[in-house]
Amino acid sequence: VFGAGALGLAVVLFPLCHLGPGDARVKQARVQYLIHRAYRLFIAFAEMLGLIRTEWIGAERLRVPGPHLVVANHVTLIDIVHVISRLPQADCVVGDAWASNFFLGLAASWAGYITNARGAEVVDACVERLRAGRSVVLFPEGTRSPRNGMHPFRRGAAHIALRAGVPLEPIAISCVPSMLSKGQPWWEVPDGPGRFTLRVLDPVEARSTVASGVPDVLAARRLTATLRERILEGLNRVGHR
Amino acid sequence: VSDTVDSETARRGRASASLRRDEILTRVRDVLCREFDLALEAVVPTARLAEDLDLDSIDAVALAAQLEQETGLLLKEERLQRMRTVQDVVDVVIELQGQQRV
Repeated sequence: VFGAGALGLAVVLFPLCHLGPGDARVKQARVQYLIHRAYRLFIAFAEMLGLIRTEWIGAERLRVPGPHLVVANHVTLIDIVHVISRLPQADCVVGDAWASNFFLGLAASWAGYITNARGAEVVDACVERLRAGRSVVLFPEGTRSPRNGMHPFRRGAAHIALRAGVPLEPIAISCVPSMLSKGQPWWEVPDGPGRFTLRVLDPVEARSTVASGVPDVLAARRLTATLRERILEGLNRVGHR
Repeated sequence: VSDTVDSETARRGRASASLRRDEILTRVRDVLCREFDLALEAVVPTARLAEDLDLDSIDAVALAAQLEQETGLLLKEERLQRMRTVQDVVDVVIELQGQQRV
């Protein structure tokens, strides 16, 4: 069912959304909305089959009109599926492995995702999207978390928040028992469902967290530290890890 | 590279405005500590910028801007990308000093 559904999406709906009328922005919004619906369906299916159980806390924050700058820790392959299932429009930053896959790369470019960019380019691109009123989702660890805890955070998200003048909206994601994590084969499914908890935390205000007059590189360091602490706190409140 | 260093050594006597090697190291360490909240004892010549001092590409650009401001030298992007350690930064400043202040 998953396979057939995904294939149907890939060969029929995506090209339709992409080739339909409208300029690039309209098309990208349409493709992103399609991805959103598909991910919602995916989650609903996975829940129905008893593979996962999902609890959102504070998801109403994401329904407020954006733009949102969403940042989360990265525990499983399907974190982004959960997050996008709650965001009808969101730009993502796509890694090289994705972008160089023909189908995924094509889908990513149709959706207007940020590809083939690094460092300052990613920051520029995300700031531009936010200023245009589009939401952006980032995983500051840059890759999936180790089994226990989190990698150090890259500071790009903080730079983006500082320059775009928007708050960082953290989500603390946990999954117990562990599944689809880094270094764990995808078929290694736990006996019971993977219980996901996604806690949308209080936003971290960029400028007010850092004293004004602090140079950007220092401000980004402090803001990143605050953000990481906030997510760690959120994970501890969930009671897992 | 050794060519430029040699010619730099030759010029050092003439260009009185140029800084000595140890002075440059002091300046570079100073800038790194101030700009990035680093402990002075961590900023040794062999310290790697990315791995040991946790500098990212945005920091590298900020570092270059600060060094340009303090030394009056012009740092090019491709030189930046080849800097791996604190000593590399010192070497670049020495090299540019030789080229640009004649």
